[in-house]
Order: sequence, then structure tokens, then C-alpha cells
Amino acid sequence: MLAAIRPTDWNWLLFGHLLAAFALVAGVIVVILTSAAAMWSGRPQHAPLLRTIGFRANLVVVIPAFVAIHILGGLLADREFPGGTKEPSWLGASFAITTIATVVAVVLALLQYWTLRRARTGSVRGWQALTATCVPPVVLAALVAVIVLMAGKP
Amino acid sequence: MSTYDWLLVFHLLAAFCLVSGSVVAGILHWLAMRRDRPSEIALLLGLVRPMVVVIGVGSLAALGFGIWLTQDDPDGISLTDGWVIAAIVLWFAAGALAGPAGKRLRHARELAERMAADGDGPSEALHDAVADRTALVLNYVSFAMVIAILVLMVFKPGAG
Repeated sequence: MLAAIRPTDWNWLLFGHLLAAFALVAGVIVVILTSAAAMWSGRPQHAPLLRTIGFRANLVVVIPAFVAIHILGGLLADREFPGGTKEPSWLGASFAITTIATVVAVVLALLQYWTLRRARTGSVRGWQALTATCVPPVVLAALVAVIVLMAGKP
Repeated sequence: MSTYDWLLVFHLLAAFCLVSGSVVAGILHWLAMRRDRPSEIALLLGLVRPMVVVIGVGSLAALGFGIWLTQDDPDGISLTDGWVIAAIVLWFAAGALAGPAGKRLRHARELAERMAADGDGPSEALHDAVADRTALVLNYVSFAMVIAILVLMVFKPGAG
């Protein structure tokens, strides 16, 4: 169903794009779960471990997956809408949202590092921790919006 | 957007719940295997619990919307196409394998919770329960089947 309207010779690109997207969403969910648990689980002794996992998930999974979906998505878009063809609005909106989300993920990594350093010294609360906990769900919501745009092509 | 477009959106969102949820559960399980303290293992395996719900809902919804899509497909994809039947068979097989694996990991989490409340000292028995070979093999094979479904959905072998 996923490839219902694409020619078969693009399938490898689409498959790679989808794998990167699945990994991206998984990475963001790991960041959400660990950040929320670090903030609200009531076990501050585990906050450094959870913040470390969230930080590494962002660095190792989320940001590389954002880069991968940009590259593979761009290649797919170039084939579907070759030079001179006007891109549809859903594609432009998807690229814009994804680009903003990528920048947010990079800024989030810096914030996560700060939060992790504070957690290791015993400070598990504060605006840094709260922001590092509340931003990942926003990134996930943006990704859901992109999935709707990509699948529905309104 | 047409009804077909909306069905495709929900089918894809459900697929994300299934595949990404499985990846999250796998990552958390792998991390739990690398820890020694029962409280940390219990914490990480506890985070898998909400993902079980996400995977279950995504799994059922992906199948349901996928079957619904075949009733209204503009490209003539039918429920009796070989690759669609293969995907459905793989869906049932993946679920059949993931169930017992989940039960074994639930026992490991419960053991970790008991040991965390009882001194929180490292234990070889707990390590063996978390790294249960049968559960790992069942999970790996089940996930490979999910990826195989994804390959069928993208490449649609045998479709006109």
C-alpha cells in the first residue's frame, strides 16, 4: 500500500526513506520516554542514566535519521518532480517542517547535554530539564504531521 | 483528501506504531541487558510497557486499514494478490512469536522489580532472565517478519 503510486525503480529509495523514518520516530519516542521518566518517575537516582540514554538516542539515532530522510526524500522528490516541475504544496510543507524539526533536534542535543551535566550533579529539575522533556513530544507531533502530509498528499 | 487517502494515512500511522514501537522496545530491552542493578533493569523494562500497547494497537490497525484499502484501491490491488496474502500470513506469524517473547520479558521485569525491592544487588539469575535466549530469538525472528512485510508493501512482488 505504501508504494501504491510510485514506479518500481524508485522502490529502493522509498524503502530506505521509510526505514530512516521508522528509525527517526523510534529514536524520538526513546527520547520522550526516557526524558519523561527522568523528570517524573520519582526516582532521581536514575535521572543521569535516563538523561544519558535520551541524549545518546538523539545523537546516534534521531539526528542521523533526520539527515537520511532529508537526503533520500530529496532524491525521491527529484525523481517524482524533475527540474522545472512545480513541487506540490504538501511536499514543500513537509520539507519545511522536517528542516525545522532537524534544527530543533540539534538544539535539543545541546540542551540535553546541559541537562545531563546538571543531573549528574544532582539537579534533576529546572527549566533546562523541563524544556528538554517537553520539546521531544513537539518534534513527534511535527513528524506525525509530516507523515499525514506524505501519505495523504492533500 | 479522498477516503482512500485517509485510509492510507491511518494505515501508515499504524505501521509507524508497529515498526517504530518494536524498535523502541528492542532498544530498551538491549539497554536493560547491559545493566546490572535490578532497579535500573526494572526501570528500562518498565518503559517497554507503554510500547506494548502502541505495538498492539498499531499492529491491529495496520492490518485492518490494510485490508480496507484493498477494497477501494485505484491500482486494482486485491486481498487475493499473492504478496498481500504473504503479508497477512507474516503478520499472524510475527504476532504469534512476539506474544511468548513478551511473556518471558514480563517475568524478567517482575523479577527485577522484586530484586530491586530486596537489596538491589546484581544477580546472575536476573541477568539470565533479561537475556533469555528464547525470548531474543523469538523477538528477532518476529521483527524480521515485520521488516519482510514492509518489503512486500514497498516492492509488491508480482503486482501488475
